[in-house]
Amino acid sequence: MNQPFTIFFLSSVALRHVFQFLNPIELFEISQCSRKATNIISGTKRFEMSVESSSGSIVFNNYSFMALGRNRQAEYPPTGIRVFDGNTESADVCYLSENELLIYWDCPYIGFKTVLSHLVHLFNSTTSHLGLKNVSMPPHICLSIVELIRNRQTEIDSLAISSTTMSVEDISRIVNQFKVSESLEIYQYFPSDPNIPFTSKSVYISSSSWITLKHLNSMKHCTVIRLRESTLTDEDMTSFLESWNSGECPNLQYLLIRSNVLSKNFKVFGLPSLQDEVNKQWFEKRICGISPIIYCPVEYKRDDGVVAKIHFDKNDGDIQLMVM
Amino acid sequence: MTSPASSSEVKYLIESSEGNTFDVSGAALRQSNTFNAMFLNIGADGPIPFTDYNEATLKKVFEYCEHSVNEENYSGPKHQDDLSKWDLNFFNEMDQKMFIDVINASNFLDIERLTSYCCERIARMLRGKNTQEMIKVITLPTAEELEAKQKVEEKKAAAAKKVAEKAAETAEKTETLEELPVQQLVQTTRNKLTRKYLSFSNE
Repeated sequence: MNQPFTIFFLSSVALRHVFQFLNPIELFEISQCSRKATNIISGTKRFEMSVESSSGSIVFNNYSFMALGRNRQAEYPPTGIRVFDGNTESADVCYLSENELLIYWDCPYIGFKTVLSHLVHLFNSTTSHLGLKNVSMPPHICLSIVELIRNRQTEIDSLAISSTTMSVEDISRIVNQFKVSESLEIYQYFPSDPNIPFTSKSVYISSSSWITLKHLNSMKHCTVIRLRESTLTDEDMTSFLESWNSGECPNLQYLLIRSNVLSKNFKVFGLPSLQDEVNKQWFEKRICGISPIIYCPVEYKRDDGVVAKIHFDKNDGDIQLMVM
Repeated sequence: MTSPASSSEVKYLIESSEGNTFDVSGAALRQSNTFNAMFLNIGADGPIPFTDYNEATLKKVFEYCEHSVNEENYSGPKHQDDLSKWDLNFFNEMDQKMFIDVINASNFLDIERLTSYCCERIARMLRGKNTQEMIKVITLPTAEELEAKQKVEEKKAAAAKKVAEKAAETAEKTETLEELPVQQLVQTTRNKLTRKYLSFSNE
């Protein structure tokens, strides 16, 4: 069969079978050839995607589509043109590798949204991870990306936000759009309580000065809690750690609180010190996709037999607790 | 031949679009899930009309089924490099038109192994290629060709309906022997064929 193959003479059902053997980039390419292919792919394939605005990438398994500004095309010159969003937009493209397609746009932010919209519809996809960590992406684009995803799902595995352009209200609106099940990461300073629900297994907040004991207590179901730049006091920490000690945090595996208001001699559970100066050992554990390390901890055994390593660094104001 | 297919010795008569009939063993025919759903338990009164496919195509499809009767149960697609010499010859000796007809027939008859091997073979033509390269290996049909194809599909859908009616008719005749199971079976058959019919008409 050396002559061109009349693939679209196959029935739609048979074409569906053929497409099952192709990866997301190959499917994207064949969808550019025919509307029939597009319809079949969107009616059949259902990939989970990971969206990361900081790199402009939309990833399906190990296959990524990256929206970049034209200023980057000198590095990797375009080798073709592809159309997007129902043939209304076109862009130059270049293969970085067989798994990575670069797509060049005058405005990378609008381009990112266009590619995302195109792929969401082509693959009938849901999003497992949404990273809005491009600090300068205009808020209306961030919000329209969220809207696009929110139209297809109310739950998401992982959400990460960092922006200098979005308001507290914007961020709060975004976080409240989804029930985050695995990981919530916020790299943003809030002058006041943004009213965010903590539903995920893992919470990371880089500027957590607005977090009070009430917020911390609402994380008692979490497996991992990491709060930096906190203003939690000795009393707050004692209260929370005692809650854990009495079994109120059944899932907690790792806690890290960095607070600059903790006193230098902070202690808990009646332990004489929270730093083992003699056995300078360190412990590492893989939990919820991260591998935290705890240095020079002391061991604490709860009444129910649960053993944890606990450490307080008086210089950094870091309290760490790792359940072993 | 019209008895229930309880052993591999049973032969069935298959009718093609030309109205010709030929024998296929029960063991080969049972690789078709469409056949299993329609005729396996109730038998067929007269030739089984797969009249939307021509004799050459059906013979090719059942040649494959006869050959793979003794192969282990199908457990997912095989890499083309793992295909036997016989399989490779079988695929290589087909011209493009026959290949497409075989895929469409195999797909209608729901013969998993053959459909999967054929489709993987086509996917290999496309694998690792960009749009420009794909266009070189595939032919995009013209509007007229698509229209003609649409008509063929409609005709096939009508033929599929005819097969379903025939199966239902046969089922009604055997109803007194196995009343409840047959009725359930016919309903399943009708549902399946309605789905096939819908999938053809939606193209």
